[in-house]
Amino acid sequence: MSPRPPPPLALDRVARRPWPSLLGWVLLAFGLSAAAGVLFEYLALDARLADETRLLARARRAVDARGGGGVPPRPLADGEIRPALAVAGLLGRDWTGLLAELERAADNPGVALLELEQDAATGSLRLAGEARTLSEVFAFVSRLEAGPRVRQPRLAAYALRAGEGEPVVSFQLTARWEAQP
Amino acid sequence: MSLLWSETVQLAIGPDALCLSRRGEPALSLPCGGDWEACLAALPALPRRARLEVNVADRHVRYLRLDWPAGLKAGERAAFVEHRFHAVFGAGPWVVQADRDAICLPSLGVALPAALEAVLQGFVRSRSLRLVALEPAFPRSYNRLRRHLRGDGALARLEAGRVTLGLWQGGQWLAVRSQPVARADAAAAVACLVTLLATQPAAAAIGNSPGNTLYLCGAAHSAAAIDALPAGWRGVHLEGEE
Repeated sequence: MSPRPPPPLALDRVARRPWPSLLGWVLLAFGLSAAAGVLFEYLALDARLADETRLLARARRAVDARGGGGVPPRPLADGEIRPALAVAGLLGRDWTGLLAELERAADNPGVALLELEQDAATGSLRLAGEARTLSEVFAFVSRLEAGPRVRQPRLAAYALRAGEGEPVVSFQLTARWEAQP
Repeated sequence: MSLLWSETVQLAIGPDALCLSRRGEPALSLPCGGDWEACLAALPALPRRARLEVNVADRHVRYLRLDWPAGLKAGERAAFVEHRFHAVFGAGPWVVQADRDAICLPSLGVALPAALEAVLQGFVRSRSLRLVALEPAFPRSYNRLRRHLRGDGALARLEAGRVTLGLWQGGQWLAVRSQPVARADAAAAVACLVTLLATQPAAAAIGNSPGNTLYLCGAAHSAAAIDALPAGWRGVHLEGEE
């Protein structure tokens, strides 16, 4: 037998909003304290920003009062200059002259220049083409060697194969390319 | 009234009068017959946004003990309660309310006249008040006095011309009865208790076991001696309930 009467009656026609639980109050307290902390930090940072702004304005006024003379630029170190010059050299190479020289050397009905690979950083060239005879290939090499930009052209490989009715010589050349900005 | 906290106003809809209570002011009582709208319109001006707590006398309320059928789903509970009240008290129209916290055990339900609630809602809207409580008198008294109640027994609430009695055993409601009486006093409460005990099945041992208590609250003249109680019962007056 229960020593207690029945539980309280919830017969109110207007349902009352339940009172927040202990966890709810704890979360509310945590949220309020966090908000207070953030507000305090915001006010502190705001005051610091105002101080720094005043100091900056004072420094600018002092610079203006000295006539605007700024600090002379620091000279660049050798390690900083060298890569910058290398990049500038690559960008400034005479690409148009190189291509014109290759075109002039290949201006022969017996020679067809089919492929060009170049490495601007090392100045190397690799050419591939076809000719009707091996002597025309050597003549092409000679014309390249006579030009002002291409140096040390060498016949790296060649092969004879049957073309349409007449033999064709496929060749590959290597050379050096002198930078002339 | 504070600007931060709205005032709480108590309105008691008595058997034949309205009683308005405000903090720091004497209670205002107005006679009221059956025209609630006219009675409410006669009330003095109240602060806007004030919290209105309404207590409805048992004379206007109907009570039932609800024994939930097995397998009743949550969505069917309201329809079941409405059906039970209509079957016992007629079509009304009523607005019914079962104990919100009672899920499995037998509990009590109340029915208020739908017209009374509609008039109250209109009154609240027209006066810009907030209705925060609309509670019948018996459950309100029970909740307030529950800390004084011990063991098995019954609580009888007396008001002018009516006795409302709820009977419990083992923490469960056994029965509830609200009946008109010529004089609402201890004798009427005892008579109501005896009638209610007679309706209990033989399996309910509360009528024969000792240590049962009949608690009386309500009307001022209920302080008379509680005589002629059934065997195993004693009577206790509870004061200061209202």
